[in-house]
Amino acid sequence: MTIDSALTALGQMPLSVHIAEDPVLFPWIELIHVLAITNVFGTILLVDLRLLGLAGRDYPVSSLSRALVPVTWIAFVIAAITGSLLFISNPITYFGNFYFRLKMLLMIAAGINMAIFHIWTMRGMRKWDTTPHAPFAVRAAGLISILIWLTVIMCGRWIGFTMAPF
Amino acid sequence: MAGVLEQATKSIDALPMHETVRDILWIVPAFQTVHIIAVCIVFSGSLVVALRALGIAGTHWTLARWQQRFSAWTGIALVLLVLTGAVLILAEPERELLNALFQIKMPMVLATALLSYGIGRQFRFIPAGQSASIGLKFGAILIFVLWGIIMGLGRWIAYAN
Repeated sequence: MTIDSALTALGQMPLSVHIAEDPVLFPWIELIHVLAITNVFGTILLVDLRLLGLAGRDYPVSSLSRALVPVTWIAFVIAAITGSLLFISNPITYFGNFYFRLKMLLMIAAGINMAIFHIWTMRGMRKWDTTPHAPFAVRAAGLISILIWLTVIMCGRWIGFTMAPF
Repeated sequence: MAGVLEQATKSIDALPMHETVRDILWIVPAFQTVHIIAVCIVFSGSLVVALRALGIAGTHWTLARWQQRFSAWTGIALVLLVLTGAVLILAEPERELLNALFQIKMPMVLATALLSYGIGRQFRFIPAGQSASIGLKFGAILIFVLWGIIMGLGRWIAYAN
């Protein structure tokens, strides 16, 4: 099965056709997607600014992370589900869109950055958890994360301008 | 009111800046991106304050401290929203000013910002170690919900034309 035939099959599923043809379903799903992604970025930004030492410097990184990461994950799961529903409504066009591809690649990059941060960088967390300024690697992870998510939002907006939804 | 908005639309249409902003393809998506980022700050800030008011998250700081921290960020974000929103109106005045959802959205933004300010001031008087009253908890949730509805109205403007 080629990618094109897989995408065609995806777009012909009853749910895909329903989302594409219903006059209000797509906007509603898109709205939930935007609400979720807004909270994903907003909560990540709070933690990243703390890692950079630019805000909340007297709030332990571990406590802030524990408080906000569940919110980020819930919002991310909602964004992923709604994003998938938007995608299946017109998979061939989305897949061929440059900004869509860039957005997906950046989200993989954000995941890798987060994995590296949790597996390696956080090992010595006790030393800098309560200090206002974290080591360079920690601040770099925060900055990379902010830049990636800003570009993800930009790509999301540009997708809307470079393709008609249907 | 409709007459005033129609007149404002015509006046904006006649501005040389209107054509420039409308015809340069990257301007609208770029300003919309900044608009969304500012929305992220306002919306997430209200979520964290609501979660803190309910005692679910961020208990390392008092509610007053969170409110103090977010009030400055929210203020900056609201200024950004007004400035970027003005550019978006300049680009497409009919799409915005003459849209019924936009006309509902704008008074709601003002009312929610004022409510947010008023309730935020109340948070500052809660002594450390004491939780917010039921009324203030409800207020914090209401502010989050109202910002969500405002976002929804903003998104639906594109579909309501």
